[in-house]
This record gives sequence, C-alpha cells and structure tokens, in this order.
Amino acid sequence: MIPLFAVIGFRTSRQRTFRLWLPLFLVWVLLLPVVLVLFPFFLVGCLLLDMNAVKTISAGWNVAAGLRGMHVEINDPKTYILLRLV
Amino acid sequence: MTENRRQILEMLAAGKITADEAERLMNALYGNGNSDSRPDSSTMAATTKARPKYLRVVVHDESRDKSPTEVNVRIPMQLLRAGVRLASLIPVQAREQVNNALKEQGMQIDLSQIRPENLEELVDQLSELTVDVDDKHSKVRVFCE
Repeated sequence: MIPLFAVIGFRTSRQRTFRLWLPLFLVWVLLLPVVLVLFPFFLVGCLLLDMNAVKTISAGWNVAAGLRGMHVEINDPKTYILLRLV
Repeated sequence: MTENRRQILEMLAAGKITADEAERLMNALYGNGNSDSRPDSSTMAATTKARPKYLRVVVHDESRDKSPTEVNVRIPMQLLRAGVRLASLIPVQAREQVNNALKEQGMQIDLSQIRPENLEELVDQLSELTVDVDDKHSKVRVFCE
C-alpha cells in the first residue's frame, strides 16, 4: 500500500516546532489524471528503450509502496526536520 | 533434496570444491549440528518471525557544538527490495555503463546478477546485524528492527 499521509516537522527561528500531517491520498487522486495523460508517452518510451512496461509499473509501484514507514529525523540545535510517511 | 544441497553436491562431484568446503557450506545452510538435518517448520517459522522490517541508522554527534546533533533514519526493507527489482529493469546499455563504472572503482559486480531472491537471503542475515561506531564525540548505530 502506498503512503497515505506524510508528517512533516520543522522548527521555526523562534524555536517553535511544528508538525504537519499532509494527506497524500489527495495528492495521488490529483495526480491520477496527469498519470493517465502521460501513460501513452510512457508506453512509447518503454518500447523505445526495450523495457517491459508491466514490470516497470510494478517496480515503480513497489518503490512507492516501500516508502511507507520511512522516517527521517534530524535534530540539531539550529534545525529540526522530520519526514515520516504513513 | 533442496536446491541448495543439490548445487553443493554437484559442485563437489565436479571437483569445484573440496569435501571440507562442501561440509562448511552445508553447515552454513543448515546450522552447525548434523548437516543432514533439514530445517524443520518451527525453525522456518522462527526465521520468518525474526525477519526485520526496517533498517535504522541512528547518529549522535557532539563534535561541532555543545548541543548534540541527532539523526534518526528508518528505511523500510520493502524499499530495498523494490530498489533491487527496479535495478533489474535498467536497460542493457545503461547496465553495462554502470558495471564498467563499478569495475573502475574495483568492484566486480554485475548488476544483472542481482536478483530479489539474493536480497531475501541478505535481508534474512541482516536481522542479527548491528554496527556500532563509537567515537569520542559521536556515535553511529546501524541495525535492523
């Protein structure tokens, strides 16, 4: 399953820490028409590069699904960055 | 007879490895006990249970400032598997270029030989992996969970 939410955290110059929950599923829905429009070009590209389109889509989907659970957190006296995919 | 056992016996029969090497391979595959014993279902289940889900990198650094810098990265194993599958889709021309670049750096690796099955074996072995780097001002830990 691809990530549905992203948690982004950061610290402001006033040392206040914020965490934002971004609904990625809305982004996926918005991207769907773009993907459909670009799909024929993708197929042509696969033909030109002699790549298996189905395997490529499957691998791309696996990478997107594999991102779920990713957690990157950097905590410095000056900086705080958090990225978590749920 | 399992595929691994058959391969070892074939290599032994072909004279590619000695009897001692074959025994070591068998022990590595089925444990140090009786090399004829096969892993039973409970052992297999335990292995499956212990399979790590994440690779975690934790860095604690106090070298630059009085306040420490902490980095905490968790990478899903599924992403590593997907990356290997993606690598197998690299076009042949590009793969050759990558292989040549790796050879120039002294790494004799053929990307076409890397398969998800190989990664599964690697991931299974990673469950016991812990890398600890302790410095005067910094600590790095890499482990699976």
